[in-house]
Amino acid sequence: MDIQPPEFAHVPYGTVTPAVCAPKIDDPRFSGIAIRMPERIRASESEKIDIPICGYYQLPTAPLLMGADIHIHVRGVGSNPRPPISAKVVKDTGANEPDVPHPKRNRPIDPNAYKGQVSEAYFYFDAQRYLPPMLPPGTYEVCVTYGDATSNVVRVTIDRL
Amino acid sequence: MGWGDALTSAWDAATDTARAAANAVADSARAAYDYVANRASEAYDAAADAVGRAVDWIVSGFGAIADAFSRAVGGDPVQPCPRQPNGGGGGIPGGRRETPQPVDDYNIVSVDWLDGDDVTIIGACEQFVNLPRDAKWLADSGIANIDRLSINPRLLVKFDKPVSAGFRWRIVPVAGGSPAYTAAEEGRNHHFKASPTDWASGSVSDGKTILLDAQLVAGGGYKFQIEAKDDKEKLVKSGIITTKRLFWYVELPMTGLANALTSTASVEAEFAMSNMVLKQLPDLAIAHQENIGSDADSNILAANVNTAIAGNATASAKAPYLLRITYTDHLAVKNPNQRQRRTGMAVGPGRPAVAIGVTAPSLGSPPTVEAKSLWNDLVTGESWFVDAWYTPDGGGAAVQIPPARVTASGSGSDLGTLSVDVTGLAAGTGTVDVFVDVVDRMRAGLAFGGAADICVCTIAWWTPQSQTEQAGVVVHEAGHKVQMVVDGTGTQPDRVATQYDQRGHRGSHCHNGAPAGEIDYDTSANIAASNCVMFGGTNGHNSFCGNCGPAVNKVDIGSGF
Repeated sequence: MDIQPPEFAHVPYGTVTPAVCAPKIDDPRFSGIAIRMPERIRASESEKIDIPICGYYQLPTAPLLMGADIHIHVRGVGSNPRPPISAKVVKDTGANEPDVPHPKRNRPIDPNAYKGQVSEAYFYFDAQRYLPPMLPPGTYEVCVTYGDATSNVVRVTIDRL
Repeated sequence: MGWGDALTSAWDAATDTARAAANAVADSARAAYDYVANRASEAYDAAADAVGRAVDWIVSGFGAIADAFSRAVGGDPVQPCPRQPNGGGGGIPGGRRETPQPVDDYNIVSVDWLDGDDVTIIGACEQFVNLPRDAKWLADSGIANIDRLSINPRLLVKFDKPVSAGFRWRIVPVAGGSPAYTAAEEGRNHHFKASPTDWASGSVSDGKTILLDAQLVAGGGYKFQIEAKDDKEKLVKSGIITTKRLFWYVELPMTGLANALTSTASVEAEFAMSNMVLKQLPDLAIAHQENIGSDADSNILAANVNTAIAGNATASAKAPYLLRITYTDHLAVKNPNQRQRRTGMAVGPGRPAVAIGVTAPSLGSPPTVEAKSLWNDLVTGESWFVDAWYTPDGGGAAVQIPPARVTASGSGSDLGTLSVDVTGLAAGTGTVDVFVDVVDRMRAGLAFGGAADICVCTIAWWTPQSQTEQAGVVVHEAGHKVQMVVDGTGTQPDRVATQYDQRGHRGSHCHNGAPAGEIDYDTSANIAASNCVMFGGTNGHNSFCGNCGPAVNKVDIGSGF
């Protein structure tokens, strides 16, 4: 698999700290979601590929605590448009370990208790893990949502040799 | 080469095929000795080619033929045999010869599993198919002898006379055993197919033989019988053999633990239902670690376990069939240095304390924000507090807030709200940032990849784990060590129908009880609905479900851990 630009060749999936592929956010008051993706992914016909998304969010905390989920949205563009696909990002990495749920896991959240708070994190997804089939060759537009917040839209081209 | 030499040579070169042919000739000799004599030349031709390679069990019949050859060659014509009224073989006229003994007057009488030596047999028995046939595995096993080890038990076939003879045999599944392997499973792992299930040829010499090439299956609870029959179709059967698996385990509680599991009886009982016998070795103590949360912690634990095992001859001799179970206080994962930010805060003399609910993105994917507990009272000397700052709106240098001004309310898992005393700051409005270590998650247990180690927590969220909870974790983690939940790849059995991978949990688990096709099984509803110990999170169930139990019966653990 050839991936351009090359900083997307080694993405630290599942981590939450800055990496070379992550968007550069200089404004500490930034509010929103920013993502970066490779411009082109080239692979042989049957080769499994990663479709990396490197991102960062800083958002008001309260809405995020109300059960907000992260989704990846993809649509084909150009000469071969495809209907949009959305996929929820769920836990899918790490060691095999049963967690003990937090005893207060189901307690109601009072959003007022978090008024004025903001939360941030870097994130690194392989979109291919969440999308049902392997994406066929083509150009795609991709964005990420977290609750009601939406990221910028980036374009990636997948080539099959 | 004279006739005698030719016969001897041919005799020595006997093969199974020739024996069968010789049988036919012997039948002829018994039925019509005179006919055989008159056909001596043809018979010899056949004997030289095939019959001549016949075996010693037709000595009497073939001896008579040889005599006939001699007479024919020597000009001693064979007299016609006066047939007896019943058509049986006649004697030699003039009483010069006795009637040859019937050459197939022998019978297969038994086929049995050997049990400890080359003569002792056993009827119904259990076979521990995962352990190699080596006396070293008998110690601490309760297994009587090495004939009860391995997937290839030995068999003794006996005839009623000390003859050389052929027979056929096969292995037959017996009703009441574990569900049969599928064709796909048999194709995936040759240990999933018993053999020979078609009739195979065998032979005895001196009336008996030991068979070495019967193969059972790798799974447990399968029942088989050997059928053998002689050339007259007399059928004999062995006792029923039932497959089992056995492995040992040793518990390594850390010194000073007050709440480690005291009885593993329920764990043994659960695996016994899937025909896995667990044998406990005496405990080995290891150094105390308050928490296993990082790779460094795990490496220390692994080193301590290795040292303890290496220092114990009994335990070290059991690898790779030894499961090593450690107990610790917590299996908490720290998410360090998490910024807690509150904007637009009025600070200065007389201003109320700034309250901040502790939150953090979850480690791993996805980094969704959750309320978190502070890293508190988990590891001696480790504090949750890292740093605190105030940054005025509209510019100006950030001001560090002294640690004493930042406190947390509550205790244990409730310790998740910060209070920042801002009265010491210059009056103004700005952003308060507190950096803290939080608990990302608490694990109930760990199964270390590539090793025979599992680790069980005795405390979670600052609350002691009950004996039942710990036993369930041992079953879950030991289940992972025996390949659960199988997904039908490699040499595994077919995928468990309710197996899922990831989808809210880490690794391969079972969602039985919860709906199929869920994107995220880590929800309260799915946890409550699940009914299998192999679900991806603790759910209060300590038993393999109806889908996983049969799979545990099927797995091949012949390579150990």
